[in-house]
Amino acid sequence: MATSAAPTAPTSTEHQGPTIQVTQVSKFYGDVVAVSDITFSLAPGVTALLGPNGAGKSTMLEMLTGLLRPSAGKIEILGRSVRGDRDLYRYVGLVPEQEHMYPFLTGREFLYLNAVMQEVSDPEAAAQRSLETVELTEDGDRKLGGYSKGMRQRAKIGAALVHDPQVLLMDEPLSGTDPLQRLRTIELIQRLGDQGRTVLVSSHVLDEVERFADRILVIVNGKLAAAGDFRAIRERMDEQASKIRVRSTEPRRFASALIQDDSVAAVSIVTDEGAEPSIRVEASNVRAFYRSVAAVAAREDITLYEVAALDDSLTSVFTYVVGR
Amino acid sequence: MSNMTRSLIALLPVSTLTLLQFSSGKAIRFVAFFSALPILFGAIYRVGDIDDSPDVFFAGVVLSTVFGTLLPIATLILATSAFRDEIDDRTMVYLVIKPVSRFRIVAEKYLAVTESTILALWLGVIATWIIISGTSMPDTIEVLVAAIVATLAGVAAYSAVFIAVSLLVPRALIVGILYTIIWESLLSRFIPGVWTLSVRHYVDSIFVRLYNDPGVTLDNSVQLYAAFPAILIMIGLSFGLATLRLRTMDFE
Repeated sequence: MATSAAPTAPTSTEHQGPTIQVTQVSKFYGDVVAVSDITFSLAPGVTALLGPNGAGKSTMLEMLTGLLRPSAGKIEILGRSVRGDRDLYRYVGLVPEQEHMYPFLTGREFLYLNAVMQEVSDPEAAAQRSLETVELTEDGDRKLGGYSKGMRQRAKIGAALVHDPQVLLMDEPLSGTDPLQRLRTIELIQRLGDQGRTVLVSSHVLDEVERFADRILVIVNGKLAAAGDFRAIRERMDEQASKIRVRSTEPRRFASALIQDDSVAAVSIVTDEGAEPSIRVEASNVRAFYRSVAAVAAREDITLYEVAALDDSLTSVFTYVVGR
Repeated sequence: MSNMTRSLIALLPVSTLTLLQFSSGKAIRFVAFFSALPILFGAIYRVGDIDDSPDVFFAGVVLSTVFGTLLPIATLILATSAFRDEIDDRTMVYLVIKPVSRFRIVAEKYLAVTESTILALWLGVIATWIIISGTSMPDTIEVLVAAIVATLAGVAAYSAVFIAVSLLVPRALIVGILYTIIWESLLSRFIPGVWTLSVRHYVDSIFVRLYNDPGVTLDNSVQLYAAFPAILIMIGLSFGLATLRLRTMDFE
């Protein structure tokens, strides 16, 4: 995306403390619990909201924007309650998940309409700036009805940015974008976070999320399953079984030696076509394994070429948290 | 973006958006079709052997067909479409997460519904009057003025009522049709006192009082000084309900 977003997030209030504070929030539909007793706070930067389909992510985002009233608990943005305080929307932008837009409007008219309704001082300039930010300048005078899914997604992002919000909530913003646009959107999200905005992004695309968000919130069955730096969460998983690839000389003999170690639950030899066989270790205690693998190799007079975690990724964190 | 579109969006963003929605949707075509139906009666009058004078016949068409059926149905179609379509396809999100008061959203939607409906109905009424009156148009102008004013009052009242209904109940179109048939056409006519809560009775009264012709009468007709305030009260109450509902409703 172009680099014409405002260089710094606007300051709305003298609010100190978390930008977003969610306290013991629940949402019920009759007997069905969509969100259960969730508490978290967010500071400036990018946070990813993760969870399987139906976990309650969209419900959470809708409550954060005031579109849904929580059945219990309190939600504050910049220290103000989101329900009934329409002035707060000057500082909050939402990229909604739904695809329906106004097919009879051009991209430029849509952004101009949003800028007018946000009461920005120069809506035309704001619309133009947003069009440039999401790289829709050339297609700005085409009707939204003729846009591809990815272009509509960018128009929604543009509409959410038209008033330079301090808080940005994005529901699946990468959905429908092509690889290049996905890359640009990720760069834009990173840039928005670097500018000091609080950005919460719901996404299923874990590989991409890993590239723009250090912090994650994982919702499973309506409950907050994990929150924080995903690498820290990964570290907490070390006592759980983890898969590691080991390349060495004499892999079969080394595998026999490794299985004797207390930190190893299982080993197998992987023979890829055209490549030297490698050892796949399932460690019951990853940290203990990393400490002992070199010692075992030295004792057996084995040369180590590689010790690499196979699941040191957000996907593994997510799988671990969801499956717990 | 044309200068006109830009100016309209800058001045009345929600109204302009709603008018553009109407112009690209089916609802406005239904309303245009309904509004043109009285022209058939005009044609029947011209080709048939009807003893009534043009103004009395036109008054009959206006009271029975326009005020009895077309006005509430045409208004209902656009009033329910104005909010329901956006709630159902979730584009309402783009309106309600803005620092714009809920009252203003209701008022701008109301303006768009009223403008569109009144334009369509007036065209139908005027065309019918022209066909029926023929060369005696100068002598029947009073009945046209009465019809135009009463139609405006009716559209103003029904738009507010049906906008409130569309925000209060999910199947607003069906509820509105039942309200028009059962309440406005049956109960208000046959149960004493119900007419005091009937939009149609006030619209009929305004027409009859403004026209003030002994050949066109209405049982229990209300004086103008009572009918207009009654309609204003209905509009005010409907606005209050619609605004309150929009402020408290969930958008999923």
